[in-house]
Amino acid sequence: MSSATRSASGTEDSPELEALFDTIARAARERSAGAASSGQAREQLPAEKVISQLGQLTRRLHDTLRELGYDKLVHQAAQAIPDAQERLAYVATMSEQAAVRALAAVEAAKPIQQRLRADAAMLAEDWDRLYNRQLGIEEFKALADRTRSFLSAVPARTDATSARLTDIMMAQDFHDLTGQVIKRTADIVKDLETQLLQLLLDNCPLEQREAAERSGLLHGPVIDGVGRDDIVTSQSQVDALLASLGF
Amino acid sequence: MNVDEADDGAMALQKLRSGVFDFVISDWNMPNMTGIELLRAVRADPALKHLPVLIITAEAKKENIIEAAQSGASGYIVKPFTAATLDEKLTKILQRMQEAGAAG
Repeated sequence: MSSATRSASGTEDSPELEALFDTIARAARERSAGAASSGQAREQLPAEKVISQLGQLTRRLHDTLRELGYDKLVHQAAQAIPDAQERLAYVATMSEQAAVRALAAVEAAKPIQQRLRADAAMLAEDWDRLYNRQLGIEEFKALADRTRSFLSAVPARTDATSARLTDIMMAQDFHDLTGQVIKRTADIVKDLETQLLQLLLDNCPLEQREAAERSGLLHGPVIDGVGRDDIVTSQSQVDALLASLGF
Repeated sequence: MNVDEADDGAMALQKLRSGVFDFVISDWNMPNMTGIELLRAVRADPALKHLPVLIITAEAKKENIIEAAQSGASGYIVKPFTAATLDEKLTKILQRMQEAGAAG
């Protein structure tokens, strides 16, 4: 929905933008012509000068993009981004919900298991005492009662755990959906990358291209470490690297 | 042992400054303030700079590990990790602190 609105307003904007470029470019031409004729070129305010230069640059970029047919590509790319964003937000929501469900199930099941274990251990201890002839007849009766009620309660308690395990399994059903969404998003990103890369390669000066490659340390998890020597693939490699640095 | 948790680096720093902590375990990739920024802030704070900071992260590039080490990390664990690894690193860091304390 929102991407549709955005693209609609984008097309409407184009003529207005063009008109703006034209106004700025014309104003800049007139000003420089006027300034040259009156010999006052140097008195033009710096801010105005920057704006008029920016205007001309933008106009030129706009024209170049259109000549090369890139405006369509950029338009498509700009449309794809909100789409991909929404898809990823969906994946994030789904996986968060699943994580919460799974954690809640584990939290609910753990105490059941712990109590089951503790009760069984206690009964076993008492039965050991019985076999060692340490129990009186009354104690034995009480033990038999407790054992009976424990045993009759076991199915209900294991059923509860089993239901939690089923919950955990069911919480994983989102993988099927999000997998498809992620695949689609990956396609969008790949297209986008190809288009933007081509645009950059054709229009970007070399030194800027190199500068853009060095940015930040947030890489995220390594998906495919095969054949790369700039990454570590195990804790022992981390330790070795730290050791080599004197840690 | 008392454990407190924070949603991001900024909140962690706030908690560290307003309470008494003996150990910091931090992720790298967090909103508002990343783990490496938190580490630098801790090392730059006279009241906190002695704190051991263990980084646990999915960042597995060598440049990240080197950056963390140079910023004063006490340890670095890459995800996915096991409880045994965590235990080993914690023990090692605490041992080193004791040795440093005994030597000083």
